[in-house]
Amino acid sequence: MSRGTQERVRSNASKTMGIKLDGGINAISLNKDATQVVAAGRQVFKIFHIEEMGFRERIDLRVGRMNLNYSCNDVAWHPSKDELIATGATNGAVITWDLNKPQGNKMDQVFSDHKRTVHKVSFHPKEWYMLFSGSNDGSMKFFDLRSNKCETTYGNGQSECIRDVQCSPHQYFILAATLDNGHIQFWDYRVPDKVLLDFPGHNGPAFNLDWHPEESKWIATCGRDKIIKIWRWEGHGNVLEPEYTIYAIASVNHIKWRPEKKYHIASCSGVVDHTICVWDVRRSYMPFAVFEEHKDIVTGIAWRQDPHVFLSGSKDSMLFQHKFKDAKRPAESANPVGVSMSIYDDVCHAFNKSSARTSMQSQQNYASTNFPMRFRRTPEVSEQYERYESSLLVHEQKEVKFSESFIKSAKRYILTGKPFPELCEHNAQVAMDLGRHQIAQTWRMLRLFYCTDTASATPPVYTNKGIPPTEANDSDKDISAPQFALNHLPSHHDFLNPTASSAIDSTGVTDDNESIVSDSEHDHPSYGAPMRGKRRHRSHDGAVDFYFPLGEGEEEEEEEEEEEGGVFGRYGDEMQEWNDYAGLPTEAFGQRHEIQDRPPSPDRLQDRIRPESPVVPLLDLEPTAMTMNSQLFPSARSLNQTPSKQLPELQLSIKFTPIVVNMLSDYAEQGDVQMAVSAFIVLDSKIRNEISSEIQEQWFMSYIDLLSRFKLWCVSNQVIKLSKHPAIEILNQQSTTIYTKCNRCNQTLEKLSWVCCQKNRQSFTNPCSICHLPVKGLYAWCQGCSHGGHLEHIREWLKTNQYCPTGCGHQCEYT
Amino acid sequence: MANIAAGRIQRELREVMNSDEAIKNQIKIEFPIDDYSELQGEIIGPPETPYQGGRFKLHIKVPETYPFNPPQVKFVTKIWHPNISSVTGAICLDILKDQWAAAMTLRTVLLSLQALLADAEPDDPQDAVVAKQYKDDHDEYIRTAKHWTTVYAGGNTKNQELEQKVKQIVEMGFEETCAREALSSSCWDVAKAIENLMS
Repeated sequence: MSRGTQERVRSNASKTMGIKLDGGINAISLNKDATQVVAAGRQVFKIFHIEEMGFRERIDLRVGRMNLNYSCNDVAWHPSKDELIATGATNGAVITWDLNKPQGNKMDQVFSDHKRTVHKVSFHPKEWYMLFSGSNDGSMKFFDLRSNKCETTYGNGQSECIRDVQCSPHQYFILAATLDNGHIQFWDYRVPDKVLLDFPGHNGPAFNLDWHPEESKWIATCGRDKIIKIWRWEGHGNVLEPEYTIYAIASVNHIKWRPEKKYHIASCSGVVDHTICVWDVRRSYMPFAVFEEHKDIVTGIAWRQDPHVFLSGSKDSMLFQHKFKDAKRPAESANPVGVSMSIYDDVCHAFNKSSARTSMQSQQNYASTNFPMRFRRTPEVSEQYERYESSLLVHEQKEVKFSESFIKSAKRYILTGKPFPELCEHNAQVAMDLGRHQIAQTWRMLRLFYCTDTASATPPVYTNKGIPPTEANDSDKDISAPQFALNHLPSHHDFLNPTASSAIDSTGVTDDNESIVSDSEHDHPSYGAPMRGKRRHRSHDGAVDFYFPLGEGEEEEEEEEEEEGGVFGRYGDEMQEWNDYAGLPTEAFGQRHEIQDRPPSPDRLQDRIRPESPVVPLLDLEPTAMTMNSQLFPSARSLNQTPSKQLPELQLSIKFTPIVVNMLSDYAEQGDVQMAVSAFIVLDSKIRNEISSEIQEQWFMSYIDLLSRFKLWCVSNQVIKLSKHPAIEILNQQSTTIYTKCNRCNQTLEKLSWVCCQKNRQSFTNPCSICHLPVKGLYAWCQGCSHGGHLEHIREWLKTNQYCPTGCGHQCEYT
Repeated sequence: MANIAAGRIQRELREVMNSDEAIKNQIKIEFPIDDYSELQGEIIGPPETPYQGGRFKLHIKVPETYPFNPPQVKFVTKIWHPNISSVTGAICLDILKDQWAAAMTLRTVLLSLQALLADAEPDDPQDAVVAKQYKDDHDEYIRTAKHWTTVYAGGNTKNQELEQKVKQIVEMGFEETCAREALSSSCWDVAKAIENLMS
């Protein structure tokens, strides 16, 4: 091309312009000096002159009787012969067009060798007579334009559809192809029966490839996995590693290197995104320039031999010429500050130094370390970028980390396999050990709300002198602390029956102690509002016991228990003592779930009901207790002698579970999804129907996500298993198949995973490489060489050896 | 002996005894009842080598830590080979040292040793004298190896000339073994051998 022509092109291409065609464009191609463009589609096939002010139609090639041959999937203008165009049709025909034909139909040759849609036609860049095509039928063909017939078929046996074929502009005999299964192939076109290299490059179909126009070893490929990969191919075997990887926002359909700019590549997407992005391959997350003219997906990009002008065709029937100066530059408007948090509560902060003078003040909790930012920018970046100095700060939290208690809780919580109260108690204990008092309290509260045996766990025959039994202790301990909180609520004193005063006297000493404790608890800042409400409710419960005549033995007991509980219940100091009690065998008092069926003492129930009427301000808190009775003591209701008492009970029973639900939601919103999910699993059917399925899913998902970030796979799996939520449980159903192969002969094992049928001789395969015995249980399997064996043996072996125990030479790694 | 080692050795012994090579009498293994830690192996010299026709006895000691560590093997029968000490019978073979792999068995070890006899590695010698001879004077090496095979391993290629030389030195009052070693090391030069023995 003469210099004059090039100058003209540059001056011509002075503005962004477009023209509307009759139908969606499937492909465009430029002639050799980039002054004309052919746009092809299902209903359109036209050639335009590209002029300064717009496109001027030159020829409409859709003339004569229409058939599927005119429905073009791809078009290629010959790189040297200006009159020659090739198209691939949706019916599998490859057609050449001779523009020099006088008048009418310019169709020259029709090759009907492909059985299905032709996705790609391309000419050899140097040899004028060579035309290659790739089709849906899984074959590539070479058409010789001298003899006008298909000379060679490549990859005939393949079942995968060929998406793209392109000859290397640098290596004379090399042909690259992308396949629907994501594989990338290199062929020597003289050797049709053997592929030079075939490797999986993309996850899902690989749609397009483009050889770098200058860098002879670079080839770019793109696919539905939304990734553009730049490979370096040295011309010989082995799987390649991508040199650069670009992450687009949607499946990438076409890519085209920008001429004269080594690192720039244009891409357009097949779905969602209608823009054309030009990327700097070294900056893989943000396009260098974006063109937004099109209204539908872009199907073709062609550079006008000039890095600043290119054409594009789209499904919206528009043919555009884009000017680079009209592009949007996302990098310019991007905020040059980044913040990220690790799961271990560390914060990473990257910023542009010039803009960050002021922002470095408030970090009392964090120790910061200044890391030189090496990986971001190198000084020789192309001229488009200004030089930046950036900093990367990593702040580490000095204080006790949330993550620690999270991990410990996750590991130690028991979510199933025991009666409900024991679960609650265990988990409360765990929380307590970790110093999470509020959580512990919540567990105990849940236990009290939903557990039938608060009362019945107390043995019927029980003397005041004896050491209180474990359960009674556990449960009543909860009561005790809040109970004394009533000292601060004068109104409660008003209700105290004089008959109870003696009881108070007897517990006077502990009373004082407890009030201190409860004082401090009330001041504890972390107590949430719902919590306090419940606690007060419990305290009222305590008051109730005083309120009634001591003639009923159980009250007395409870009182006594409260006292005892109070003594042992000073959470911080007396924890150890209390632990000892908790450690007592629970069997002494029989199985709880058996007790559950027994109607609890009706007296107690009435006790709890009766005082409500006078306590007006506390009424809204009472339902918790009421529902507990009515829900879990169904028989109790029938035992109520006075019908009048049933009325408030029924009304109030509606309100109980919502409070727990609210509480769990509150935990989840505060960020403690662990508590929400754990409690939910433990409560299970008690509140399952009260929380919407979406919220459940959300909680479970975020908890599982957190667990897997901390690599707590076992816990995570247990949670999935216990979720009983269809959307969550399905997580455990994914990829559950393991394909095995014989590690001696490398054949896939089909029927039985331990018998290899190779050579018509059944033999036992895949034994432990160390002890040569079949492995029952955990098989540690090296994914690299497929050897392995008993977990213990392999671990032992790799302690002292680097290489595979079979001596296959593979460097196995035990992680 | 550790459980895993005992189990494995028993199975490997069975494997050796049932193997094709054992049936053809090419390898053999013997062991005292109830003790699998000290075994007696036997291999025949591979055909078309100086060791052809010989039967070489091996002493195999199975460590407690087997199969995490290789068995200790040495030749009981004296042998003239670059990778086997002509004095102690110690073997220099990578799979018995750092290249040991747990997948190997007694059978493969015996077969490897047979292969070693057929294909010596003089660049990584156990016995420097033999290795030097192997490289510098290969014919002499073959003659010596054959002689040793005949004398110690029951081979059937008698070499009167060498016998004569040994006898000559033995008559001077030296031990036959020492005499033969000295002669072998000095390329059957009687004068040099005597010099070596005297010094």
